[in-house]
Formats: sequence, C-alpha cells, structure tokens
Amino acid sequence: MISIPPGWIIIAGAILLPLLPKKARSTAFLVFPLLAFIWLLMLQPGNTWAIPFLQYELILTSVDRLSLAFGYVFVVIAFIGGFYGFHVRDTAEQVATLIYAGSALAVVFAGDLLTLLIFWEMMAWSSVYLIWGRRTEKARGAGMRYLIVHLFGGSVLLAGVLIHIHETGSLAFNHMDLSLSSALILFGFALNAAVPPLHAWLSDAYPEGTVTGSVFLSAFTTKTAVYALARGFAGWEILMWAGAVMAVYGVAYAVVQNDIRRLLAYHIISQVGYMVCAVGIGTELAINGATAHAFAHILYKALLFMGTGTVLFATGQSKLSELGGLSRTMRWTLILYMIGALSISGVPLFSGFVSKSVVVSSAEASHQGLIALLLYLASIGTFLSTALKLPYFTWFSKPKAVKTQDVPKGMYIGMGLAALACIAIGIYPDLLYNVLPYPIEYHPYSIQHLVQTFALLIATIIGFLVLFKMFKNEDVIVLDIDWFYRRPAAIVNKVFVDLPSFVFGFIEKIVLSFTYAVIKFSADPVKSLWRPLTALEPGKENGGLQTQTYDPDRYRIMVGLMVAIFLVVFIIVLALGLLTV
Amino acid sequence: MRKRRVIWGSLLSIVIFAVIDLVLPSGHEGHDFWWNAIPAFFLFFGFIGCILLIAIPKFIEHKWLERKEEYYD
Repeated sequence: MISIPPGWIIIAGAILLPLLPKKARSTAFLVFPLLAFIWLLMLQPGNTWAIPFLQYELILTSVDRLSLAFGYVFVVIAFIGGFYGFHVRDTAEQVATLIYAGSALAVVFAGDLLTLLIFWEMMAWSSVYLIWGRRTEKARGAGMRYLIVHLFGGSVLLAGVLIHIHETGSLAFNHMDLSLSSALILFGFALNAAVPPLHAWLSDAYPEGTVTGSVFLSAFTTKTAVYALARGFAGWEILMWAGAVMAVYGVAYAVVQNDIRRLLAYHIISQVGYMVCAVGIGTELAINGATAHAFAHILYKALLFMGTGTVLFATGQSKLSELGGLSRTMRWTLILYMIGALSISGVPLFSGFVSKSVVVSSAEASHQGLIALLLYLASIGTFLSTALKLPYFTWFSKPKAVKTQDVPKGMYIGMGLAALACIAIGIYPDLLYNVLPYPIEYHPYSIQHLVQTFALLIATIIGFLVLFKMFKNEDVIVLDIDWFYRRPAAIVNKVFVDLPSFVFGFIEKIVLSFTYAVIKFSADPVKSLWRPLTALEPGKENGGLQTQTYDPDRYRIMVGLMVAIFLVVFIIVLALGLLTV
Repeated sequence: MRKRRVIWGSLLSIVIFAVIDLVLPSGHEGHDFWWNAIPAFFLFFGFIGCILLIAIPKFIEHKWLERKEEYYD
C-alpha cells in the first residue's frame, strides 16, 4: 500500500470541485476532508512513501505521532469549516480553500525539506484568495501585503533549505543545530508563526478576509509553522522567550483593538506564543503541550472567528464602535461564541483549560518561573478581551447595529460542531491527550489548579469592572510593525516605481527624438544641411530649397549612367591588367 | 451602587481564596515557586496584571499609536 499523503486527497478535491454541478460543490467540499480523515485513520506511525529525485530522495509521506495529531485537527476543521461555508457559491474561494487546507495537511506529512517547501508556498498563494475573495479595496491591499510578506519568508526559507542541502548533503528534515542554514529556516518558520517582529501580516490580513476565509486562515498557516518548529527547533531557548513575549504582546494589542476580527487575530499571535514557548522549552511534556494547545486552539479559534464572522455576515459590521445590543437578535451566536471564548480563556470544562495548562506546567516543570508568570499574564488578557470586552460591547451595551440578513443554517451547524468539540475535550481531556506525540500522564483538574484558575478569572472580572470606563471603543486603528512597510510604501513606490519609469521614459524620449533626427537627416542630407544656411534669408520659408516628394525615377538615369561608367572603367582596367600579366 | 458591589465582591474573594490557599497544601507537582507561599497570590496577580494590561496599552495607544481609520489610505 502506497502511503499517499492525505493532503493530496483534498488537493485532488480542489481540482475535481469545479467540474461538479454548482449545487453539488458545497456538499463535495465536505466529502474530501472526510475521505482524507478516513485515509488518515489508516495511516500508522512509521509509514513512509519516498521517491528518488536527482541524487536525493523525496519523502512525500512520513507519518509519526506529531504529524498525525496535527493532521487530525486539520481535517476536522476543514470539515467543520465546510459546514460553516456551505452557503458560499464562489467556486474560486472553495477551490482556494481546499488547496490551502490540502497543502497545510501535506506540509505536516512532508518528510523532507523540499516537499515541505513546495506545499509551504502553495499555502501562501492559495490562502491569499481567501482575503481577496472579500472583494473590497482594503482586502485587495491587505492580501497583496500578505502575499509579498509570505513570498519573502518563503524565499528566505528556500535559501536556508538550499544552504542546508549543501551543508549536510541531504534533504532530510530533522532536528537542527545552529548554523546559517538553520537560522534562515528558522526565520522562514517564525514568519509564518507570526513571531514578533514578523507578525504584522497576520493582524493586517486576517480581519480583511471573507467571513468563511478567515476561519480557515486562523487554523492553518500559524499551526503548520508550530508543527515545523516543533520538528526542527524543539529546545531552542530563544523560542521560549520569543513565545512568552509573543503571548503578552498579542493580548496587549488586542486590548486596544476596535475591529472584532482584528482583536481575535491578535489573540492568535498570543495563543501561538504559548505553543512557540513550549517548543522552545522542548521537553516531552512541552512538545505535548504545544501540540495539545495547537489542537484545541484550532477548534476554539475557528469557533471565535465563526462567531464574529456571523455577526459581520448578519449586520455588515465588525467594529465595536458600530456594534452593540445584539443579544436578543443573535442569541445563539452569542452562546456559541461564548463557548469559544471560555475555551480560549482556559475556563475549566472547556478545551483551553486542559491544553494551556500543559504548556504552563511544562514551563514550571523546567523551573522557568518568569516564563510561567508571563503566560499567566497572557491568560488574564485573553479572558479580558475575548470573554469580557468583545462579547459585552457586541451583544450588550447600547444597541447600534441591526441584523439585516438571516444567517444560513450551515453556519450554525459549523459553530455547533466546533463548540461540541471544545466542550468534549474540556470534559474528557483524554480525547486530546491520546493523540499527543509522547505518552502523557497529566491531570488538569487538580484542586490547586482549579483554585488558581478561578482566582485569575475572578481577579480579571474585578479589574475589568474597575477600569470599565477606559473602554470607549473609538473608531481608530492602532499602529503596529506593519507601519514600517506600509507608511514608506508611498516613498518606496516613488523611488522604485515612479522614478525609474520617469528616467526610462526620459531617456526613451531622447533616443526617439535622436533617431527621428538621424532618419530625417539621412533621408535628405542636402535639405537638412541647406536649410540652416538659408534659414535667415527672408521670404524663403523652406530654406530656399524646392521641396519635392520622393520620386524613384528622378535620379535613375543619372545614377544608372554613373554605375555604367564605373563598370566600364573597371572592366577596362581589369582587362588591361590581365593582358599585361 | 455597582462600586460598592465590586468592592465587597473583591474583599469576599480575597478572603475565600486566602482561606483556601492556607488550608490546601501549597504548590503542585513538586516544583515550588516563591509565589506559592503567598495566600491568594493569583488573585492579586490577576488583578494587578489586568489593570496593567488595560492601562499600559491604552496609554501607549493614546499617546503614540492611535490613528484615524483612513490613515493608510
């Protein structure tokens, strides 16, 4: 049995989808992740499929418990997202989504760096359509920036891979040691994981995506990066610190956001910070934590994006300054959103509680007290923004937005499935713990842990109430690192686009006018020379010369005569010469 | 009215969590940090952390980073 990569099944689906009747496409969208899931269940750790390539070997499939864990959750979320986007009739968006999901899945089963890189790039260009599909001017710009940043990251990754092949002579993707190539590869991975200062593409682009598109975006790109980091860079201390800083950075920015989907995008950065930090700690417990948190995160973050996407779909608004008072008209969305919010906040009985605590415990077990405190701090901010601020100002507070469009049932089914998964994992953590890469003996529901969690949650509620007046939700944006490439863009455009085109245009003009002059001069040198001499004489407008149109017969006899004389002379000279020899 | 409720609620939770922390064996799974010795530590940590997480970003935002929606257009 050839172990075909499960991602290929979904990519094949993307190719087949446009050939199906329009009405069947949404249903078919669900079938391919399902097939991939069945195929995944048949794969066992240790299965590989390699083909020779030049003097190397391409390992198209390499299965172990780490890739399986990411694989499961990827197909699950593709399936749930299929329900959520069941109403979508944009074939291009459906195809792009399937390619995106399929290539993400192919990345986690890629056994060598080249295969990984190919699907890594596919993820970048397929996912950009999920942003452009919104068809707004803002989405166009954000998508373009997203694409440029990712192609840049991909190029750095490619450079790293090529140098790595040169250094080691193999394509194999294993744990890496510090060198030039691994630094470049780390840069490429860190860019996709949105590690500050390489994070701004995420908070820039995700909020501009389509309602369904952002759900998928929130799941795949950053999590494949976490997977790649876990495989190649486990135990790199720099990642531990970067991750902890990232976790706090994300929540700090989320507090001041006005757009609900941008607020959630900053929480992706924060949550991925937990995973990156765990990868940096690098113990078996920590890698388990990173995997568990990625698994749980994909489900609850998709649920949150679905909830806010539903609000955007129904009201056309996504800014807190324009929202409020939707609790009566959109009660179910509120309930389902809150399940996601409580999960991400790590409230007991919800999925985040059982996954986040593994990460924090692994920090504590490695005696990283400061790291643990930073992660606690980030969890405070998470609860504050996603479970208190966002829902309060969206569904309660002063009514502003009005529900103008009915929400398709599929969206509720998608949210319902994700919510069920969040609760199931929260109540029965072994569901999650059983798929982790290393054996785990962990009990999240200890009394100390529960007490500590509730202390943090209650303290956050008190803090929110005390500083409630500080939340005014003005219609503003907050600058981030992307300022450094968005603001100078006008200048860069002037220097690298306008200036060269002006210079080239100028030179072209000179060359053209010179050519014209030469043509004019060679066409009739006499006229050109004569004119300046006689131009000053009054009364002779054409420089004193009779202008005539060109007539081939005019000089024919004269020139013919000259040629004849020349030939005759030439022949005589030749004859004389031959005779005298 | 709400102010008073917040104050009473806070005091009540401090008492409850301090008592629980004093009764329960401190620390979990053997790795002990200095904060496990402080009763109701996470309540204070959570409150101060929350205040800082609201106040500092808001301050920086208003002072330097806030722009109109059309800033980049």
